[in-house]
Amino acid sequence: MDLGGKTELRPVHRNALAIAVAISATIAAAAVAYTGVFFSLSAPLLNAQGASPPPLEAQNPPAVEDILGKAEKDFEEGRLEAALAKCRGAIELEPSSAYAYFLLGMIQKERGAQEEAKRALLQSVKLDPSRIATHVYLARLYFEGKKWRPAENEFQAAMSLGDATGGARFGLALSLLAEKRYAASLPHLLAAVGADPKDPERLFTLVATQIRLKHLIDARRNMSRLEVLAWKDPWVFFRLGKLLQEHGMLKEADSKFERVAALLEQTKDSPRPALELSDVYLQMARLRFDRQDYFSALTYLGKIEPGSLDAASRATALDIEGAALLAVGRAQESQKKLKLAAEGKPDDADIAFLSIWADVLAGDMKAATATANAARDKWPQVPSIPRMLAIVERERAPERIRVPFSEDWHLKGEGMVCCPCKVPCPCRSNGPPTYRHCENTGVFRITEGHYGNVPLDGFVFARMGHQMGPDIDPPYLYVSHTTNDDQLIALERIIQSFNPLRPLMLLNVKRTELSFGKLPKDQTYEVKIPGVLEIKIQRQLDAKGKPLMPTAALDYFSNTLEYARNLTYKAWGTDGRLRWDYSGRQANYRGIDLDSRDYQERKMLIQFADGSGFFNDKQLELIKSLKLPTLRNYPKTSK
Amino acid sequence: MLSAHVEMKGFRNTNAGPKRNRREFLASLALAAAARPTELQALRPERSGDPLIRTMDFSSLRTLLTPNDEFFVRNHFVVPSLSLTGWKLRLTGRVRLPMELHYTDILARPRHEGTITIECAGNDVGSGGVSTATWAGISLAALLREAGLSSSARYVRLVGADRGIEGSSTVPVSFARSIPVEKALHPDTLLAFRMNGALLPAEHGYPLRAVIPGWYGMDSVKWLIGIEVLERDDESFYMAQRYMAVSLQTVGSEQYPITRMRVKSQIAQPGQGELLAPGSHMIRGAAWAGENCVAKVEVSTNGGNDWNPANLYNESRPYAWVLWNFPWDVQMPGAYVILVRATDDRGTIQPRIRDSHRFDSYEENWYHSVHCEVR
Repeated sequence: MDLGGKTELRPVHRNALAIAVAISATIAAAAVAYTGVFFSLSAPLLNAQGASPPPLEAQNPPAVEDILGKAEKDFEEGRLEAALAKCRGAIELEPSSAYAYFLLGMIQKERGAQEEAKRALLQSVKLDPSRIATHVYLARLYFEGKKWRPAENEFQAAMSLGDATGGARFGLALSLLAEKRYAASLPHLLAAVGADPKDPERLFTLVATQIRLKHLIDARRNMSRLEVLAWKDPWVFFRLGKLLQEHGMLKEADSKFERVAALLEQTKDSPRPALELSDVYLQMARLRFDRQDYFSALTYLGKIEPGSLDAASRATALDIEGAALLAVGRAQESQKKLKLAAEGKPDDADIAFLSIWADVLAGDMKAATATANAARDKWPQVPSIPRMLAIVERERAPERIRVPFSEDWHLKGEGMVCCPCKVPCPCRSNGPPTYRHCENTGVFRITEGHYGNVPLDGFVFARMGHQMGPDIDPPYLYVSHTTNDDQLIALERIIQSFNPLRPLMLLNVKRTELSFGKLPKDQTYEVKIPGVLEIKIQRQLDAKGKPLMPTAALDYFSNTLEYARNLTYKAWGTDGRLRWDYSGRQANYRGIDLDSRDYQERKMLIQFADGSGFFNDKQLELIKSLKLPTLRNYPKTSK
Repeated sequence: MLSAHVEMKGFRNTNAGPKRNRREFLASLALAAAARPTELQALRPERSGDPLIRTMDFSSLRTLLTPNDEFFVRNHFVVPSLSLTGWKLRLTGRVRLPMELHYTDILARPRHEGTITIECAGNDVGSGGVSTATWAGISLAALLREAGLSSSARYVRLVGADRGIEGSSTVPVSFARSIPVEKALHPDTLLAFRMNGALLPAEHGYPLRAVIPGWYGMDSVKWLIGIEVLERDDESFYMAQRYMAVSLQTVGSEQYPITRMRVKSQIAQPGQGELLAPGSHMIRGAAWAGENCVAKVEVSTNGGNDWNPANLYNESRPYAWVLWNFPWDVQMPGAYVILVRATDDRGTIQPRIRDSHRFDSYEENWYHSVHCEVR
């Protein structure tokens, strides 16, 4: 979809106003792929007062004047070759006419002869360097040729001659932006907007630059001005939405697209702007997808009229739909969508890649193998394909086929996690770890559980790893000697289902002595892995034996946890430098009662983790709807 | 909380829209946030700048030596600013005489020289993460012997002055790699201060870098400021968490550290997707085999059905690539798949495809193929 404005070359006349109009004809294809948002200049660079040239044509002999007049007429009416011949004739008669060279430059440019156009304009400048219009037009030529520095020089020359409208300054800013010199462009953009505060293009460019520079307060203020200015213009809102989306400001992007949809829906019976409602729905679906709101993404995709999208957009819609379906555990439906998406975009290795993964999750190893092999033949140099092939190859092993992906799983039990943080653990509500590093261990005991036909009753596993700081070693999984491969594969598949979009491998698995003990009398739990780990925690219960202050938390096995006393938390193993003593720091406990629906229905707080510092809107919504307790619910201790 | 696992990141995640994922997916065997449900990246301090990463234009390959300004660069952090006045090389650890050397001390020692190809461990098939230069410097072995290597020495740790934030870390880490003492004592292992007859350019490790011949590039530590002799395995970040080969098993994986360069050949001309006129063309490229010599290079112009020997321009020696060519007379219009494969003097041949269990992105050396059309 082309988001750019239309380029239009307007007729040229020799008088001041006409010249001004000519040069103001948009910077033509002065479109800059900036932050991924294609925007163009539809605003005049200079208007009449900014471009008033000195009345110099009078010095041309009458015969030359006459020829130039005819050349202008030819040019205006599209007879470029005739205009060119006449203009050249005028130059032969009057080689010192700056205007004749100016006109020649315009004609040559229109003929697509950029070099000749440039030579003519340079000659015009040489003959009369005082004409703003020539500098601007020359700058525009350089700009279109992506010669940013010469363009900047010419815009600056125009500015030095007077730039009441700020058009040349805006051109200069755009040239700087094209060079990614965002900070340097900012003062010029501010001045250009100051000169014409009602030009939406300038305001949009300013907003985009301020966002890029992370001047978000200013950007938001100017965005508000722009919205007032263009309240009924869906294009402006659409572009703002795209811009915000590119910069990860997803919530704000969402509101802009909502506005576009509302505007377009209002104009259903009137001539539509060149923006389809389906395009907007597609953007909104993508946005919701990026925000991990997969059900909402699917809703917007459902609103799209397939016939209203071009082929590429249709394939994109199918791609998003396939991914969203995969994310909510509907692998078989996803397979179909992704296959169609791949047909629509046969050269897109990303889609092929996801399609293979959907085949794997759907348990369709025949399709996965065929697609993966075809992908390897098609993209022999793309290193992702062999990696996916390794996954496919592994899944073809009889031991893994014996434990197919299944939605039929359930885990009931308990678990504890220790780490070096203070209590409460900040990451449980999207916050950063207290000491900027995290050496954590989780130990879980499944009392009743199964994955498909694999029984998991009595399964105990411990996971240890550095997560932050300089020691982000790969995590290790310790299980007892009695754990069989089926159970390990089942565990991997369960964890995989927490986020089906990310292939997950248990790479470091160790069978060892692993004890998980509980002393009911004082609610103490003790875990030991000889030579590796010792943990002892104590749950905090009230007089009635109920947990003190359970709280909503981001956790893969439960939406609530209780903080516990960390009596001992020591590791001294040789695997992956798992060595520390964080006794007395953070420990927590959770009861586990989890099945596949919790994730498929997106009821787990952790599915919306975003590192934003605290529970986000989606999580707060879940806390409310699931009636989860939070620490804020508890009365503060009275003195 | 997640169990021990490695998660392939970036597929469709918080930060990745549908079009921004595969490279992330590939780029990292990213470690899962496990008990950390937060997106750790969001917590990272700002990087001071992106590391310089530049590949050579392999299609421009003409000569044995790669000009310094075309030599590939794959740094982990920004180039450290080092001046000779403040620069020192410290040799510590399991040695009798720890040393502190200034640049002039380095220059005063006997000079050694070698023409050595360096390849990035993550160089994709057909890419320009590989180059060759003549390196001049001093012998690491001589320096270690001078310092009196302990008999318990097992590894020699090479520490660069470059440091910064890696992965999901929040604490800066220095770039450092360790090589077995046997490799460190090999007479061809260099501490280089000149490259192709010129002073080492800043992006290539000025004033001093290691050059570990026949081993992947990460061991040729740049901006060298420390040498530490260890008597046990080096468990530091770049040894334990990067540059590991990972082979998926039914459950878990097998892993080993990346060290020696594998036999590999690449096509420089024609280019991928090139349109050729019927007639005579020269297929050209380079082949290398790490510590071994390239015994032969073979070219197929029909997708691997038939193989023909290529001409080797220069005598193959260990460490350096050999340039090869193959005159191809093609009259029949159509689509062609050109393949190349090399065999080293130990009989090891490039594999047609990747080992189907390999899950990492290192040591990629399967056949390079170029699709072109004659018309």
